[in-house]
Amino acid sequence: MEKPQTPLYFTNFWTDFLFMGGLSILAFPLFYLFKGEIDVKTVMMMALGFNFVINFPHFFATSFRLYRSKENMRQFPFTSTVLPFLLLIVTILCFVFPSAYAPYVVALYLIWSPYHFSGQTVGLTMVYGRRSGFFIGKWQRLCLSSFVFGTFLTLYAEYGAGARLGFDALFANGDLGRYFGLTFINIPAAEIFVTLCYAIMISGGLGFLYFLGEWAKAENKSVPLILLTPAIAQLCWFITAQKLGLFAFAALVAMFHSIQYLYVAWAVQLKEKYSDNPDELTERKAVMETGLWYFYNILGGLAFFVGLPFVFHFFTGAEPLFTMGIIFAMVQIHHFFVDGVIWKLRSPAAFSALTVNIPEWIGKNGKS
Amino acid sequence: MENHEFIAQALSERDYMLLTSLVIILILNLISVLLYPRLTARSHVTFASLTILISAMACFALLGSAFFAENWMKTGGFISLIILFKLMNQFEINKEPPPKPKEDKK
Repeated sequence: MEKPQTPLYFTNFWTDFLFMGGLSILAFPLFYLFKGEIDVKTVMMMALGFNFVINFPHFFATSFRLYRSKENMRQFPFTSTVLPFLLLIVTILCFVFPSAYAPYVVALYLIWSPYHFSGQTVGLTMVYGRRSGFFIGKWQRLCLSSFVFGTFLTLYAEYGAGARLGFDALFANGDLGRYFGLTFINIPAAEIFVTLCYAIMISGGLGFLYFLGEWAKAENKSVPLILLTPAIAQLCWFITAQKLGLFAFAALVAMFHSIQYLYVAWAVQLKEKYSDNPDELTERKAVMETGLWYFYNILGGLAFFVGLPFVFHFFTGAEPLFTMGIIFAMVQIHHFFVDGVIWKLRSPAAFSALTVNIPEWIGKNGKS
Repeated sequence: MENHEFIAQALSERDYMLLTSLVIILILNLISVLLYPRLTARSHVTFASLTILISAMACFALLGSAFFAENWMKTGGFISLIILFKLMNQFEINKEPPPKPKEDKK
């Protein structure tokens, strides 16, 4: 008996393409064309606005999945209980001894953040690899990871922790960077290491393309664009845009990453919500559930990034900018840990969400 | 001057940072040792991961300014951080040892 074909998209080509990085790939030439006319500060303000509806909710969506059920928390007791407590201690120490802790916590966050983006790019490519029937084994994964992590390593090895902030002043300063008024330690690596990173990235990319080519030849079909979309977007984010001096574009990278995340998390949410009664999902219920889930994530995001800084500012009396910088960094470090475990939850619904096509699912219910 | 006041003045912010790191490491290892039979292998690995994170951060802070002294130190610091992230990516993920092969009962 032939195995049923896994649908290639979560919804359809255009939606998947735009959410998985296509939006940033399409935005990239626009930023290049209007490079001289786009004001970095304006884009930074735009990015700040998008934070409230895209970036902040994506952080809450992760925590929401872990903390919404005792069963989930029981599977990862350290991540759900011990870790927040430890991070709270570090946060308090940052306020008590600002010069001893804060610069390093911020530097840690700034380097960890793009590493985390890269991990997601690899994960998404593997999801689409599975959906398209392209087997990602040990060597394919090595090549893919070399390319994706190579893009981040190359940039950060060259410019250090402040690379994503993308301010000319930061690079001119060299060793020290500024983040929310905080000075942090910038760690650019030696030049020879940067060259090595380029070599890793290019050879990994070529290797992955070779495996894809071999697969396409054997299967006598073309490589689906969606399979390459996250990796191409990653290349735009970390190498091409930075090399062309598109710092305004770089300011939006966190938003592009969050869009990818929210899209997959949305599919998982629907699948988990209707895991017991999959036949009950209708278009109307899907819209209602999506709206409610998104609304909760916006509220949760505000609690994390507005509420928490306010509470700490109120109790410590520290500078608002400093407080925001520390809390933003700590919430995100917590997110990196939670995101590491959240996809390993023993939940068949979550796993099957990665191979589902939502419109097909709803369509089937409509017919039944 | 009271002895405790002298100690307090002698400790800089950096010393406090190292002291708290050591205390947290000490507590984590104590829990791991004292609860040895009750905890699973995964929990012990998680405690070890936390101590690695805290020790790495302490070294990072201690050597912070020295990173710029030498090229090899810059590169070493950067690579160490990447290895740290890779390790933390495995935080609390099931790493139970493989089951032992059953012995033949004759």
